[in-house]
Amino acid sequence: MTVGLEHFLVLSAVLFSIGLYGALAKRNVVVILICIEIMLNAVNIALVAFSRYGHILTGQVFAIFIMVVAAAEVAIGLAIIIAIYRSRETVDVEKTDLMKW
Amino acid sequence: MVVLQQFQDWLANYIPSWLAYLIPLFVAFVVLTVFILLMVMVFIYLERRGVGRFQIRRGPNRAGPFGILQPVADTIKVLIKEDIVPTSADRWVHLLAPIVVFVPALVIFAVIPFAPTAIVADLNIGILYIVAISSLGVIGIFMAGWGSGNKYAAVSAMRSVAQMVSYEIPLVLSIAGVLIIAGSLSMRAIVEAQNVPFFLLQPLGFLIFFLAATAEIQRSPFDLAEAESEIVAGYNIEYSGIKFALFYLAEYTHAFAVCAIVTALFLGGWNGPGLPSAIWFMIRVLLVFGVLLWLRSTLPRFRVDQLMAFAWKGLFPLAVINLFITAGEMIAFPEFPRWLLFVNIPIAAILIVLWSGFFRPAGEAVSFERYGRGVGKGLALTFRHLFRPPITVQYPEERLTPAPRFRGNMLVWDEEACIACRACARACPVSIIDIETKKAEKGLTVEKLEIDFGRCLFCGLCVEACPKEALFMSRDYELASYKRGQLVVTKEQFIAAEKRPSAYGYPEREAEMPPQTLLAPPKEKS
Amino acid sequence: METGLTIAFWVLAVVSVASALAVVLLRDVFRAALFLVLCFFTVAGIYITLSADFLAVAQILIYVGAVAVLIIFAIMLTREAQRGSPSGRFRLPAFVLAVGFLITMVLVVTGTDWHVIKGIPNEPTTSSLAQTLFNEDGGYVLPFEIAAALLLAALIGAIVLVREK
Repeated sequence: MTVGLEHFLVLSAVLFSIGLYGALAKRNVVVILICIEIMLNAVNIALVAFSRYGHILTGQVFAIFIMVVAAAEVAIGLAIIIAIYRSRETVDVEKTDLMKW
Repeated sequence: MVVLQQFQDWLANYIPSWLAYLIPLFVAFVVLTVFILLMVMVFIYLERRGVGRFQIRRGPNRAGPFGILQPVADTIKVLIKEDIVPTSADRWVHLLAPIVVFVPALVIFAVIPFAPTAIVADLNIGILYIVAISSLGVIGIFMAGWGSGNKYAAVSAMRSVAQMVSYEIPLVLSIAGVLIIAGSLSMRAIVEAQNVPFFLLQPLGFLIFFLAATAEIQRSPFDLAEAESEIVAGYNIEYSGIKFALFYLAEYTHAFAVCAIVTALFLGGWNGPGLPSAIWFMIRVLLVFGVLLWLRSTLPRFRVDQLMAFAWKGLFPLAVINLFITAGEMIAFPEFPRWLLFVNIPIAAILIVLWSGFFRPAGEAVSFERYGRGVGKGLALTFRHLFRPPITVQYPEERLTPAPRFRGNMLVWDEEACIACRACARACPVSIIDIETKKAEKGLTVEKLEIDFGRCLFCGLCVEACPKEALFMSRDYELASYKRGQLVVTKEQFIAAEKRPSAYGYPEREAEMPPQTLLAPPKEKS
Repeated sequence: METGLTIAFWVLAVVSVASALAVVLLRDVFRAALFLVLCFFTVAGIYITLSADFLAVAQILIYVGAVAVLIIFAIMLTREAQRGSPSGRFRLPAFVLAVGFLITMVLVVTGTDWHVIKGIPNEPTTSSLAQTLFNEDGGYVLPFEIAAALLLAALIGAIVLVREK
């Protein structure tokens, strides 16, 4: 059977929900960041699928911008993680969840 | 039209179309891989002989005539070595790392234009594909460093990754300058747009690309992360056997790829009269590789902080300025006329001179004397070395003469002068001389003489103790034998030996000794 | 052509979902990061099946070449790999939420009548993207410049955050 728009959107939804589970359920903050990246990739797939099946390039343009923002966010997120690791010696989310140390 | 497509179209007459699409691809892949591996062998051979010539020596010439079987010997040696995986290593990561390093280097060749009709895949985003694929090798290096379970490997892998990632930026920016002029990302279109080779129109871009690419493939002078004398050979320290062979192959394949990319982007690819295009391409590739060898045999290695400073404070701003200038020229003169090369070359020279004024490695300013003229003089010297006859001594056919007072192995025993007084046996501090004497008609003679040279200190006390000048040090320096028992020399062997006494302990005999050539190079006609 | 596309899509979809699951379920953080690299790769392949050639190569360049390297650096610098990536307190609620979200999305997607335009866009996207971005009547130049400023801010911010005093 031919592959239609629904296939790509379902794939995007599956990847997004896997990333969502990981971002909520894991304790290692680097893994949470990884799962956020999976979610962003899933959204990108959906946008590019719309762009291809609607014959309009807007989806791909926004996918490029999402890639840029994701790269910037990973950089800042990892910088924060390393800064926290230096002072608290841990990357466990359940140990760094106090607003005031 | 590309040869591959012609093959596919021809084959589609006989077999179903999807098979006609796949079989030529498979054939192209096999042909390309075999060609690359052969060229890598040639490059390994050229590197060892070429670097030798730059260093006034011959390079390997024992395996096969002129040493052409040396890469084959290296390959066989490295393949039959035992494959050791450390216990603390992550087995799967350790296994997959060499593959993840080798495959991107191989896959780059799919878009290299060897000739107008000899490209495997003329992608319209060819150069972007190359940049993306070369950033994949970084993951393999990480896997190698982490998967070895060795902290030196991990530190070296991180240094290596930091180096590769830092030098990617000037690389891509200098490519962007070429793309502005060529107007397309496709490799074939870039080569076809070069009526004037781009290294004349983009001299600064060419220099930056060449240096950044040398750093990407981690060759001297940027081979800090993996040189044998640095951090114990780096991330491939725990690799042996065929996995190490893959790393080694990956390094040379990547070097070949970089030479091919430099040729296609800056040197005009396959343009040239007379010879077939692919031959021109390979000539230029070998020329670029020759320059890489030249740099390797001349320049000392960068230190890691100098390396990073050079990328971020030296190459990166120059690449950005080059991009600005090229873009400005493109807007002002959209056809990019040829006379711009007379504008760009002085601008490049001025920028380099100005920028090195800002650059301070290790706190001292970049002086033209040291980094400009100095590097130039070094390069000129190694280039002149190419034309000098090599000073290699083909041992063991040719042997050099040691100094007159050399304390070599194997004493020389003059049987006539010896009076069997056993002074030498008493003088020896390690008691290796075993003498038994018997009465003869005038005094004593030696019946049994055994000296164990496995324990000899070459102190010369026995020579100095002999009252009758019957014992000499010899001028030989080869002591190796297959069994330790053979190191014990008997009286018959002393009598039968070829006597080459040295003048140690007998300074009056120095004048009649042949002049030394062992530690001083033979005088040549220069 | 159609069957090739179908086979490619199914293979890539299965591998990407499997590697995403491996990322979430594995205990060893480094291997989870390597499976993330595989996931990025397969997403690039999916872009190719969607005729987005520039985006596929950009995905490899940005995600595999930079983001994955950053993540692996962070893993190597925060040496809690021995503890790995255990599951947190909210395992069950997160699972319920994710499954619920998935079911909702699948029902929405399969139930909507998409007005799909037939045919495959066959032109290379690089020049079309460039023309869309830098169109004469504005295009997306302003978001482009803002993205550049954002990257600069992220760069400076990351350096300031990680600097040793």
